[in-house]
Amino acid sequence: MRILQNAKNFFKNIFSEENNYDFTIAKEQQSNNQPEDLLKKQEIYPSIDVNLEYINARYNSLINSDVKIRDFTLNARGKQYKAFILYIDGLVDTSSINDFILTPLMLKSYSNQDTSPQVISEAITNNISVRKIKKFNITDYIYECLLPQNNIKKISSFDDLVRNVNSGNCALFIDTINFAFDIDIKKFSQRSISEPKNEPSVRGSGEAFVENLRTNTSMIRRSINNENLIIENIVIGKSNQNNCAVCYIKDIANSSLVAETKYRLNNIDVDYILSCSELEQLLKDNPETTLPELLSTERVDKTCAHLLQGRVVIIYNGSPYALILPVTLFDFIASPEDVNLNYHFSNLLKFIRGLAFFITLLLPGLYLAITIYHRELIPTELLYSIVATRVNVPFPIILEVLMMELSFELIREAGLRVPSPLGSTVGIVGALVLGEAAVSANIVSPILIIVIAITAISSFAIPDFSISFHLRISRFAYTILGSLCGFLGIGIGLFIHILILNSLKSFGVPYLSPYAPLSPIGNNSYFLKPVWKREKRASFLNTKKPFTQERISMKWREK
Amino acid sequence: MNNDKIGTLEAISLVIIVIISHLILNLPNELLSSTLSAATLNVIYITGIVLLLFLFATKLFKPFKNKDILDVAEYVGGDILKKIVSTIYSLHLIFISGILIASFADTIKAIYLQNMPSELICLLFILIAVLANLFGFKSVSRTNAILMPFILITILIIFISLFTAFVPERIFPILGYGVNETFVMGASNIFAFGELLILFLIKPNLSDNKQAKKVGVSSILLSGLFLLLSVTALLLLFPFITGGEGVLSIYMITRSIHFGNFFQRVDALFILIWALTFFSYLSVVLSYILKIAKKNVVSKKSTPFIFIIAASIFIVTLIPQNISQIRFAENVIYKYSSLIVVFGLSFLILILGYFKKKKSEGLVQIDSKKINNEVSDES
Repeated sequence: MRILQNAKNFFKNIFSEENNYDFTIAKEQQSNNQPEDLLKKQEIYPSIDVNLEYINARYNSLINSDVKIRDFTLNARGKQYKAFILYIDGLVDTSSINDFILTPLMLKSYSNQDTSPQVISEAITNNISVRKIKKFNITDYIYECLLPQNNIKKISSFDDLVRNVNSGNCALFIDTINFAFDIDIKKFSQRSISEPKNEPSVRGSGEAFVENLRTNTSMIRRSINNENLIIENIVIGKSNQNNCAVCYIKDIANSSLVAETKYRLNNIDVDYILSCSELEQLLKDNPETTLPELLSTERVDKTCAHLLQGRVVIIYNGSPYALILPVTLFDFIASPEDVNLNYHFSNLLKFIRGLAFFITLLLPGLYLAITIYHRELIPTELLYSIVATRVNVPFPIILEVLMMELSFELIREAGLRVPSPLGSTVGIVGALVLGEAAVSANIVSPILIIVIAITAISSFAIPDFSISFHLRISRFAYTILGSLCGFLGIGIGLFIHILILNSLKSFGVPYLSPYAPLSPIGNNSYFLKPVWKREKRASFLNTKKPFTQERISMKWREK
Repeated sequence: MNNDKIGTLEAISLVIIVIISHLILNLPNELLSSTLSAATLNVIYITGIVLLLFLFATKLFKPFKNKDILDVAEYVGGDILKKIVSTIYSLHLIFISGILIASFADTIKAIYLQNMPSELICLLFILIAVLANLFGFKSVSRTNAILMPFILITILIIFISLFTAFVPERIFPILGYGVNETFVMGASNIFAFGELLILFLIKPNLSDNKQAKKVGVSSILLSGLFLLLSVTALLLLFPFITGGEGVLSIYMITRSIHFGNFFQRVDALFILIWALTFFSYLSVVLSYILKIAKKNVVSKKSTPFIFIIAASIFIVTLIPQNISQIRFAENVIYKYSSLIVVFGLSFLILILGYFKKKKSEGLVQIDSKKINNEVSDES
């Protein structure tokens, strides 16, 4: 009876509804920064001494060498107040602090000593003078008369104030006032705008992003002259509260796409993020896949082109890359050069790149499949020469291929890790000397060297670093499948690969759009249309403005 | 919200793939052996018949918007009939797909994987189909839509590259065994379109239901065209007697293709395409058996069903002991099973459903007329 009951339960479990309730004993909350947590979420006090004590505690100012607190006596209309400023040395313009904050606040100038009331209006009727006098308000007076700065905010929360001070602002606390002035006087050393290192272009723009968020957004703002370009800041991280900018063009980008991007960014619960690559991994729809789902670029012109197409861009402070979303597979095979060339040349290059994509992925696998199982495909003369070169090689062909592939990966990794002047030496020693020696020692056949070299060169033709990684990993799978089952194995690999590609989405957009599912291609086909025919934005982006230009864009041709 | 909605092109691809997969195996041979040199004429004839039958079925489906044949069966005979019909359809599809995979695996083994047991090859195909279904129906249909143009282009390439080797005289006598064998007995060759069963099940998956007719007509015409090309190539290339060899008929044709003196044997390349065709075919069939199964149970969990159906298909692949048993199942059992299940049972259900619906609508109209009359009498 028990066996029957067990069997019954087994089948009941198989066919019953999926039960997502999964109880695990929750760990006790562990925190190594509890004192800070207690200090947080605090409003600014009216007493300057309390504020000073709070700031000292929060910033550990006794041991923090770059946190500067300068207390002084503020003179305003003949009255004196205790005050202090807070800033981080190295992030601010100290001469601005001296000239435009401390000098007007501390010095007893004539106008500042004048205690007579401020007259707004005066009327004389029947020899009786009626004056309308403005009531003296210290905060308004300081804001309007004593601080000659263009960007000042009144902030009443310590959290907001501290975040801004950390990013290079100066805070001014005054006794009896329960808020502080947040004065923007950022100035710090940063890398100057330079040429893109990893995405070179012959005829494209020479500007690449730098590590500073505001410089990056200003470059975009300069390139897109449109007031509908929105740059929203979102703070990410708990320990390291860093800013990231969400950029989109309000009257083009799909609202739900923008909302989804902001939703995901606002719901990242991490202590810190160091680069936009980490952020990319936290935003992916399918984090397990090796395929990239956001396009990372250092080029300003490429970013702007995508923004104008109706996509959303995320820039993370401290990272010289922008993340573009949503993307499709074909965006990763597009080069920044494509749009700068005549469409005939671009399409030729795109064809070559497409070919390189398949060679990178399949060539070693196909070589194995053909030489092991489908020798009849090889013309007889070629077959003889292949066999002749392999006669003295003692290893099975699969081992030979894997050895060469691994050696090549090793050379590539070593070339990247050594100091740049040595990189080329590693390449020469690794590829030329070792390759030649391996052939001479009959460890590998010359034809295999050619196969691996073509594969390697093809992999360098893929413009995107992330997709290139995916191809390198997948190539090993195809190599093994090809050696196990020939073309059947390659077929298995291709089928699974296409299935995976079809199951992926980048922010709601199918990864193989616009080809699967087939939708109106617009301006997003793999091959480029002439500039005057790029009339539509990609339909899968569902933009607010589907057209990029009139049906006849070259109106000067019309008579 | 139903996440299994597909576009028109994806639906056409789904239907074509299940028919084309038979074409790669022994279907052209079977058509040739039954009608001889009238095979081309017969293919055009049966395509016409199937098209008319489909249009008739569309008419019968008209009162049942967004419903598939199982819903119609439920309407006709309640839950019991729905379950009986579902079981018959599932068994039919499991059996046919199992035999087809066994046949293809056997051919692959004969061509180049002599050291690999055919059971293992079958298992590989089934595992891939399981994996595909774990990714979901949308992934399967999109993958299928991507592969479809390549498969059709391959058949076109085969036909064009052999054009110079064709012997047009082999089309004579134009009526083959005679008028009776070509048009009367030959009408039973509509079994070649037996997989059109999918068309009766696809309606709820279409994102635009009005496109059902377009999907059916396009897929029948395209399948007919490629069936015609294959049969014609086989007929014009080989004397009839060699057409009966026990290897894949299209594979036999591809062995004759050569491009200059350099590439003299390119047949292996086609194996890659056909392997993809069969992965796609099995994934689609598994998806539809899964859909049938899920319609009959309360459980919304797909995974156990995928494994059970896959195991059933694998068991079927183990049944045939040798190639002659596979051929018998492929040519005879498939033929009669398709004629009975697809063109017999399905149409019977549709006709009964249509009349029942009409009758009930008529009764409703009579009832409303009666009420109107009573109201007018009272007034």
